[in-house]
Amino acid sequence: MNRTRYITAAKHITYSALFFALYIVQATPGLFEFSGAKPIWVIPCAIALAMFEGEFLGGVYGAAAGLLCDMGSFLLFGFNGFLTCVFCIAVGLLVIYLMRCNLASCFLFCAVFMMARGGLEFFFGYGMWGYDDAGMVFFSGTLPVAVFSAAITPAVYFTVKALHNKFKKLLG
Amino acid sequence: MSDFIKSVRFKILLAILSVIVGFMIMAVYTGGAAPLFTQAVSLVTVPVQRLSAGISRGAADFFSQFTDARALRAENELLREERNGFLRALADYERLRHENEQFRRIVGVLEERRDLVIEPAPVIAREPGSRFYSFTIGKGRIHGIKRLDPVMTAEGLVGYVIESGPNYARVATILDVAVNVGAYDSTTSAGINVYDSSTRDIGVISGTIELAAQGLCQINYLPRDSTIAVGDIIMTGGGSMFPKDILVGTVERVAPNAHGTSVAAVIRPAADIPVVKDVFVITRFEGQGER
Repeated sequence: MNRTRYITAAKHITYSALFFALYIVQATPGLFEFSGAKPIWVIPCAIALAMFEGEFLGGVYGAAAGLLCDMGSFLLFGFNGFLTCVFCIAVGLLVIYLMRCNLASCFLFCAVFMMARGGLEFFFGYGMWGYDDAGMVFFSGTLPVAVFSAAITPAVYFTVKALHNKFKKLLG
Repeated sequence: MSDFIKSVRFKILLAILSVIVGFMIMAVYTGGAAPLFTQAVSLVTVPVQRLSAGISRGAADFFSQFTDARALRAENELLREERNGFLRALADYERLRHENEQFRRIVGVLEERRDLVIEPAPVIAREPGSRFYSFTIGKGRIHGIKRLDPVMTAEGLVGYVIESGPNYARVATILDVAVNVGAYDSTTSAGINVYDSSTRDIGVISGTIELAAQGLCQINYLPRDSTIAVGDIIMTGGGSMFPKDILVGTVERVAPNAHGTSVAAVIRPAADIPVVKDVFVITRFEGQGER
């Protein structure tokens, strides 16, 4: 009983450390920056985690990932937290009832969510204010971030999968 | 599915979503100030971000000498062209003498600025898709940095603090379109008042999306008969938000506005805003407004 509790605690500490490390990588100036755009690491990680751990832990880690993104966002604090939490709950339920838990699904979820999130962020941050040349921000900022974030999905997916399998094996 | 909706887990998730909505409402009423979550997390993340930014900077500097050979060659050619330009310019003694006087005056003014209290701070984070090169610095309220404090480098004005946490602060740059329209705060809705050090004409700095992509901004509402010219030096005009006579940049090109009622000019900021790594926050200056 105690052993199970320790392993479960270790699992959550490991996941939290992974989130923390990915957030630092995400926010460090110049790191993994391509043509001025950087990928978001923590959200694909939360989505992958929702696929492996289910809707509850997915929702919790999704909220945490979103709030981490909100810390550097110019939009209303909680915007990313709310969206990511709801989406990760949906991902957890979709994988349980409808879809398969594999890399293709994870990539699809990440691509769809990053585009939707980027679109909403662009709309609320620029589109609805009627700035001149707002489309430039979408094509040179929003779109590359969404594409890069989707592109790094395999790395995050296999990391989360390896950790999940390791702890699943330890828990028997 | 119905089992999930009836479960305790669902109720916990609803509680989490309610807390996030609470954060959003709080952010609306506090003008976007970071709620407790951000401030608590920043206590852990800021020291690590500071370390990772330092490591990243060191590694980038080391590898750049190998990877940037082509860029260095291009830069070398550019510098050679510039040197030739300067040699030609040397012939124009009178103009140089005039410019020299201008520079002496600007440097003199800055040396006399004993009213400025500055706090140096490193840039520790630039988020993916950051708005107009905005960034986070590794110092905050405990270092005396407040919201709306001006931010500059040794080269010139960079922007202002939009949010100050205990040990971090977020900075919006002068390339931001919101500087003009005041999307963030009514205090900034009038824009940043600046003047041309040659003509003494007063205008307002603002950003546009197209110019920001090139690292430029513009000065608007100059008088129709303004004689502002390419190469003129633009300084802050003072007020409650920015101290007077901080270098903003130089005029890159001049154009009348669409209605012909005033003149606008494109400014190349003196500070290299997209890649700035260390800044100074002006925490106190003469005439500073209440925050």
